[in-house]
Amino acid sequence: MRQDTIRLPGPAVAPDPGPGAVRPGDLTPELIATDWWSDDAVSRAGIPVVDVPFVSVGGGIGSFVTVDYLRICGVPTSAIRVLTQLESPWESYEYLTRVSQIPRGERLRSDSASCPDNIWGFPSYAVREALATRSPRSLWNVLVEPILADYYTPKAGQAFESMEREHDRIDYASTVVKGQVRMVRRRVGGGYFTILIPAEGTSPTRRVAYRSRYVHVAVGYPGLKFLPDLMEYRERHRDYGSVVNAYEPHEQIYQRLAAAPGTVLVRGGGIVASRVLQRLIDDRDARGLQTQILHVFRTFVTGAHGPHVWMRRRGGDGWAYQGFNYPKSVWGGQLKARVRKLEGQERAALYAQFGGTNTPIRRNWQEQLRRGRRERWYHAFQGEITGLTPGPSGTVHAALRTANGPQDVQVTAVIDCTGLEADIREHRVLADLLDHGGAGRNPLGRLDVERSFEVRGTRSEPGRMYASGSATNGGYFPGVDTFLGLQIAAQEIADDLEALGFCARLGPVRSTHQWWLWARGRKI
Amino acid sequence: MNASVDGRAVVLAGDGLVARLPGLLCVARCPEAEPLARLLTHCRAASGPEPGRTLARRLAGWLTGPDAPPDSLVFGTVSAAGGAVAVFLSGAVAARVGDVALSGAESAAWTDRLVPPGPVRLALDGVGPAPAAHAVLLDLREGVVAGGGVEVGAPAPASAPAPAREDPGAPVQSWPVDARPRTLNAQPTLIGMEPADAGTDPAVARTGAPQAGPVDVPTAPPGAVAAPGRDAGPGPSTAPAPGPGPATAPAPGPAPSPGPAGPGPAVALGKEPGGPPRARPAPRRTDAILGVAPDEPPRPPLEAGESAGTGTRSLSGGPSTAELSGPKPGEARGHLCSRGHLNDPRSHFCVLCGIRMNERTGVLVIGSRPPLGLLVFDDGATYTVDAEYLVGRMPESDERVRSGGLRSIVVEDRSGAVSRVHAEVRVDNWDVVLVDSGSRNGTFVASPGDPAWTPVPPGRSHRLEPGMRVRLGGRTFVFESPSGVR
Repeated sequence: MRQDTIRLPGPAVAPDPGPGAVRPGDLTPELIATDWWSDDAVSRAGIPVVDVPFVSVGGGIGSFVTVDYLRICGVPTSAIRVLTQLESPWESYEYLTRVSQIPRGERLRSDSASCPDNIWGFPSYAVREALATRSPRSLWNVLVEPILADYYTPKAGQAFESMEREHDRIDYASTVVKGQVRMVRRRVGGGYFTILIPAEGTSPTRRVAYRSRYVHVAVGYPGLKFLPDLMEYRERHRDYGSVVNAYEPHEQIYQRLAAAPGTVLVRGGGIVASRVLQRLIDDRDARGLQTQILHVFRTFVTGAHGPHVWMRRRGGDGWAYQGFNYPKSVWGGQLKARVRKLEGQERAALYAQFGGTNTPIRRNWQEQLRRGRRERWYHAFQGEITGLTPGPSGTVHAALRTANGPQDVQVTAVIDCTGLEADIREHRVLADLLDHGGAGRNPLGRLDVERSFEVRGTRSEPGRMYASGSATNGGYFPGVDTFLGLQIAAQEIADDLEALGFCARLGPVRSTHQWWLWARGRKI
Repeated sequence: MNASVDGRAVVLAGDGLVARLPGLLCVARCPEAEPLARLLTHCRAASGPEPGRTLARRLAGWLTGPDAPPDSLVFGTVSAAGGAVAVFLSGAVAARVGDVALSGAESAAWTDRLVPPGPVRLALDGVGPAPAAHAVLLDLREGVVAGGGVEVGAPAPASAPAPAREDPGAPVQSWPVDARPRTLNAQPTLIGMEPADAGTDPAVARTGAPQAGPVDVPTAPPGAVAAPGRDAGPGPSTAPAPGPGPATAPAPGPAPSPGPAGPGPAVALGKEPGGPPRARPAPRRTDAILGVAPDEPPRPPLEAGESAGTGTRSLSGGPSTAELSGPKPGEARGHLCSRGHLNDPRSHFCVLCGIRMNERTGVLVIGSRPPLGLLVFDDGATYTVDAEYLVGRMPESDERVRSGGLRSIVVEDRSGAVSRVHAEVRVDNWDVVLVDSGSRNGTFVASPGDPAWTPVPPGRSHRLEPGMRVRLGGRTFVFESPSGVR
């Protein structure tokens, strides 16, 4: 435990740092205020410097996929450092999927060929599943989808296990340095300084600077933002158990409904709402529960919708249906081509057109909800929650504004399956890039990147700074926050780095050879 | 201002509202009621012995958050913050504390400052002087009333060493720290400051103002304000050296400070070498002005997330008053999320707002601990683990429940296998632990997915993990936690 514990609020505040407040190895006011750092200023501050050509900040799946690509392009582990707080690249993703009711045994919403462990996408998850289970079922599925069957999607566990194998194969672990990145600043003379707060006890100083020619920022979602009404209810009534967001652990609600019959209010129309409903109904079926489900949509979709006949999305019963979170053509079709050419408001408008909350149409979900409507234990309606107050004996009183006027309901729990993504400024590294790194925002307000995923405005010749993942959503390539999007970003970055002479070209010979090594599980 | 020289709050007429709550004053105006109600909610939640910092962070978070009030809401608060006074102004509101005049109208966002204590005038712009008639009788102790401003003067110097008050009409010279008028840079503080760097220039923070120098001395040079993450450096402390000058002119004699004789709060805070022993620190002026009795009983735990605010520890330094102590009951050492909510250091996402927890430096902060989880019983009853519980057939037979040390959970069991006092659910830092209280038939636990029950040895504590089941006699409960820490 650090010695610099401070107390908030109350009479005792921070211990007086005394006149020598800036300890050696700490950021000096000079550094904090300067956009471009000289080697001299960093050494004057007493911050130790580690030289490495390529630094990736984040350490999630974005970093993993990029490092995987570079390793396949011949970059040794000694030339790469991944600065992260995560135990494994999939740790954060797995947590979010698990709590939002996609444990390892359940299926993700991702295409068969989007394999973060395999840059070629071959063999796809469906092929590998068919081989592992010795059953052609998944192959048949991908052949006839989406007409005769739902889209094939891999099980979460399959994705994590295959990533783990690739993680070991490319010796990812030896690139990882644990700690928290505080900022990335440009270096006078080219390249960047990345300030790391190392894990406790691993460094004599509080900060370590990584001096690199290239920096890759993949810090993922800045975070979720629970809606204000939810936060206010919890803050005011100190009840964290009855009003929950679906992206946080909320097993207690299923336990309570199993212990005693109750009504639950679900809000939202995305895939998480679908998964939560499935869990509620699965529990209902398996344990013979009498759970009543109220489902409130802010926008109640009653049918197919879209600007014209070639750009329509199916819908009904409140939901907007789409196989994946974007139309498939954003990854390789006409939408990808169109967005690549658009700038400013035009790009934002097209994003708005194909964006929006939606969920895949899955036959088992359809069956469950149809049964619920028929047996009158599932009620979906348009409305908004206007107030939440504690009700008698552990219930929650929810005031709703609906199409039929205000309504009050008494429920056991409220599961909020909506959520806003926080602004990129909420992430301190991104905020620092905006303030001191020269980075800007794209038409959607996220980090503005070039077609090569270089962060626009941050160049420090001959260095480059790249970014991928959710923080760059809104750029020339849509779908960046998906497995395939991360791989496409990694490909663009590797191409750019190859032109700069940092890695080898992935031509037909190298690609075939590397695929062969991958298929045989040979370490590189 | 002479209407309120004795610590009474005098409300000035106006079309807004005035609130006086423990530790703070608030003046606000808005055509709609809802933003006012929310403002008061924030004030009430923060009010207490030292609401200044908490309130400032709450308000800053509110103003920048998704539920930010409309621009038509103008408001100002003045609240106690250690030995200083925190002023927060948004819109056309002016505050005057001692000799420091601040205006919210001059800021693009808001004005947020710590200033030395002194008589307070907080008023919406355009509000007139205090009523002349019966002024001596006016006295708002606590509550919310209609008005446009409020004046609170110096406290009645009951315990002070005989302040001379022969001339009640004279301008109040309550704190002879720095009687000269000064202007401050009334600009929104834009500093993202790390918690460890909370200390600031001691000269400014403790003695209220530089003792000499040019007349218009900003408390901090503009450069220091603009610098993000201001690690305290050789900043303003070197600038104004104490020396002879008009600042020393007011004699320290008539100081009505209840503290020991001496110039200003530096002595009251017990930092002056050679001062009297500080066995009992004297009540602060801010306490007297802002209505906090020094011996106020401890209030119930703060609501979760109140221990801090938006996370930008932007208030200038802050008087370091007391020695560091460990967490009190209901408190814990944790990490703040970027929005200032206290969390288990092991959690990845904020338990209150959902933001990632990798936003901040790993400095541990002591604050009010949010609830650690829920006990879900097999009959559907749930108990929030924000207190410690004694579980059993007749837990109230135990002295610890009768004295209020533990809350009771009465478990009825037809099998008769539950003891009167069966088991305790205790809180150990960020962990919830189960202790068997020497029950006759034992207490058992089972990890999630594990069908086997494991006995908990009497008197030994057993950490509860999320999803863990607990059995007492024929009854069971499950522990679930919102933090995701396993």
